[in-house]
Amino acid sequence: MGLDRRAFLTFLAGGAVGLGLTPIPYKFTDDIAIWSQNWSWTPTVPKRSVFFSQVASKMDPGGAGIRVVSYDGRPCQVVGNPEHPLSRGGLSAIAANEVQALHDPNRVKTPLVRRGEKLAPCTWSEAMALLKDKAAAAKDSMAVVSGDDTGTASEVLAAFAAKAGGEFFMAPGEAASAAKATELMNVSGRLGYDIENSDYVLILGADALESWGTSVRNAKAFSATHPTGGQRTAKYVYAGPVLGPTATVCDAYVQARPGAAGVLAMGLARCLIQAGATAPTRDFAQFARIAQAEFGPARIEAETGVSERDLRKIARELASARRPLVIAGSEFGSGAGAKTVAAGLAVNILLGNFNRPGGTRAIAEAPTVVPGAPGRQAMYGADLVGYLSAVAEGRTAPGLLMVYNANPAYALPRTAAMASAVKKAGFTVALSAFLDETAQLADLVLPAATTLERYDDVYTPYGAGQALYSLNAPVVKNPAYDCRHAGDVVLALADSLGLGLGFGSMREVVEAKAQALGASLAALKKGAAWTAPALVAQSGVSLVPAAADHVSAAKDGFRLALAPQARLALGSATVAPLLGMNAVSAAELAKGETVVQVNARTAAANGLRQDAEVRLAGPEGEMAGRVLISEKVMTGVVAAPLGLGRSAFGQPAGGNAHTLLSVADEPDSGLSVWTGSRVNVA
Amino acid sequence: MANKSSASSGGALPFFIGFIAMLFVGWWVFPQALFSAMEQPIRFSHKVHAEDQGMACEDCHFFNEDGSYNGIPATAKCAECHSDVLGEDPDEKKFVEEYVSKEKEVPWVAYQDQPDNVFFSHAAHQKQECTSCHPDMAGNDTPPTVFVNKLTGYTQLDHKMLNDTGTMKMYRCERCHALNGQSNACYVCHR
Repeated sequence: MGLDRRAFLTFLAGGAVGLGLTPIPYKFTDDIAIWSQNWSWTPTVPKRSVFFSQVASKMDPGGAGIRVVSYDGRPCQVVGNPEHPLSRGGLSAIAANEVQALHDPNRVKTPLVRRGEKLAPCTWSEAMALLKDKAAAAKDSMAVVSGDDTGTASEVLAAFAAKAGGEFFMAPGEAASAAKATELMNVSGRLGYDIENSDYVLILGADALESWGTSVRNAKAFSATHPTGGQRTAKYVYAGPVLGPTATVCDAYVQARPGAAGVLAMGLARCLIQAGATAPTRDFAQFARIAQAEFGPARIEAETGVSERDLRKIARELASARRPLVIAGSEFGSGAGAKTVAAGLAVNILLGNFNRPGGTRAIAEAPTVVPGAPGRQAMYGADLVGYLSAVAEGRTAPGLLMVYNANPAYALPRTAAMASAVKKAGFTVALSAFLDETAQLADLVLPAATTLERYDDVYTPYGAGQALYSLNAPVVKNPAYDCRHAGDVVLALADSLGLGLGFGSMREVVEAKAQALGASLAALKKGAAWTAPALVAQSGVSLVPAAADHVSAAKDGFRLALAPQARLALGSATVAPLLGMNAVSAAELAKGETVVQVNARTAAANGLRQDAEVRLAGPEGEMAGRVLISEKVMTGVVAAPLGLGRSAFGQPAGGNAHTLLSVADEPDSGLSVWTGSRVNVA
Repeated sequence: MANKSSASSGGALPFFIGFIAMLFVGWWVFPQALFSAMEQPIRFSHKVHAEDQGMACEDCHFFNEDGSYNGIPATAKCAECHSDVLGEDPDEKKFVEEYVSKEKEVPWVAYQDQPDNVFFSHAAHQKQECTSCHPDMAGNDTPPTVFVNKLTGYTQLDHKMLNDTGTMKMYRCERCHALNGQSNACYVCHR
């Protein structure tokens, strides 16, 4: 039988009928529709499991634990860590940007070396060879600065400086003030505050629920004692110049001038002593005499603006509380000096709550693991502002200046002088993740890894109520840029100079730290925080240093007290503003200018009108501003936000209020003080 | 004329052959050609983990605290136990060496990936048995072969034209919603 045309057509007809009885036409029709939904060029949601890594934020000065949500090893989001004692599920505005920081347009992506006026890219090997040459040439004419208050990286940098014969500086802040205060008062260990267990928290100046210390944990402690719809179990009282984030939610607010926290604490000490309070220290009688003689009602009212009646009321409430706690500090996280913290501690000792539940605590220092590293108090021994001022004035000049996690050209008082010092140093190296103001002035910029890209650690941030350690492993599997941890850079540099620090990498350093603490490395690597409730027993505590020589940065000829306002959403002293931090309110920035707030009485007395463009002039610099009349600000005070005027990042929005700060030298401690600065507004 | 017609057309035979041939193509060749069979990159034994080690399903397939579903665990989760090789299984050794040590994710092939045009929340379906939609894997020692539709990318456990083992089609969602009195409005799933 042949297959002729007719037979073939019949065959096809049979096939066509058969086709109708197969799934082919129906399946094709269905699948083609689906196929068009799944074109490979159509963006899709990652089809992998969500994974939560647990680390402690290094951008958050409070070191709160965070959970980083990753898809396929790619971090996408940050949330609070309910199991971390410093987070309890909370998240600071700055830590929320740990992921965005990875892709920030201002990141340093490759080593940069200065060629004339510009910074030009170079390779890591070129950069390290240059750094080695400069370090070898500088010999002991070297200054190393670290702004990492909680990490063992600072220990690495300090050990390197010590071995090289150079000087080491911690960037100033409340931790530095507290370290000096404890040294002056002969207190062993670092100062902590058991805020969770207190039933009366008096906050003097410190913006404890927004930017001071362990702010996320402080806010959680506040909310735990102030349940919605329930009875509060603790009373929070704030004394400061501005009804800011902390004062707004506290149960009571007392207006007190900027930089007056230390003097106010001494006034309270006097009231408590008059009411019968004593302290088991050998110099209590002398302290009581100084408090009585030098911190009388007239001085307290003149310097703090707090009446004797209000002062006594607070003292009575403190004395009658079961577990009172006093926190004293700078309104904006730096510049208070040691005396403010010391006076606050003295009041706590008078209240009998030192090393007691709900009170102040002496927390054990972590063992030093890097050979040659100085102890904590020695690390905080030198004053950076004083040193850089000397460099700016030509009284000294380091051959090599290394700056890590600090931005002296932006975030310190006498800002112009600090920037000048960075330029005057023989050779300045910035170990920075962002091309900030200091990095832009440096001769060599080395791209630092961010929190999620590096091995690092956090030991007991200032303000925490117990010893606490977190170890960070890199969350990012494939970093976008070839960045290195500053600690790794310094370890390699030390090795190349024959100053071996005993470790090959930061990973080894932090693992050694965990071992020295007796913490479980496996648990730490899973993100669990190691805690130790043990406190350091004290003997020979001295109160007198807390009473003597309180100074203010106020200079004659300037009428208004300046109250800088720090908000983590606008960055910290060490971290550049990031993409996610652009939620600047109209009370901070208006029409491109920094908003400065005064109340109606101050405005009338100084001829200021709402929305007027003004110039604020301090002893060391000027800043443009726009007036907002607000009754949140105390009379005679002008409030200005920090964090604006970032000249490093294109056209600066607003002005840098740091430029308005003046500096006074604090006797005994040797620290520079810049709280209480005054300005003229015209 | 009658003879010519009969001889040249072959009568019903060509029709029948064409009919049968197409049925063969449609029901046998076509499915073989449409799907490609894939094996999982690592021979993961649910049986060893669930029965021998006494692990619960939720140890690996859990809800995150934000309510999202973890689905297939990431390598880091597996590495909580398998940071080093624990046994003598060559696939475990391969897993540790090629994925855990290199901090890489295993390219597991999901049996029931849903497309992006539908929003499916495991949290909203917690009261249903997992096996209402998923095959019961608890006693499985070797992962079943995955059949991937070359045209759509949809997956299933066999190469049947109508399946109830793989990527869920809309009629199955609608049927279950209807049987359980849930809304079948478009926006419930297509958001």
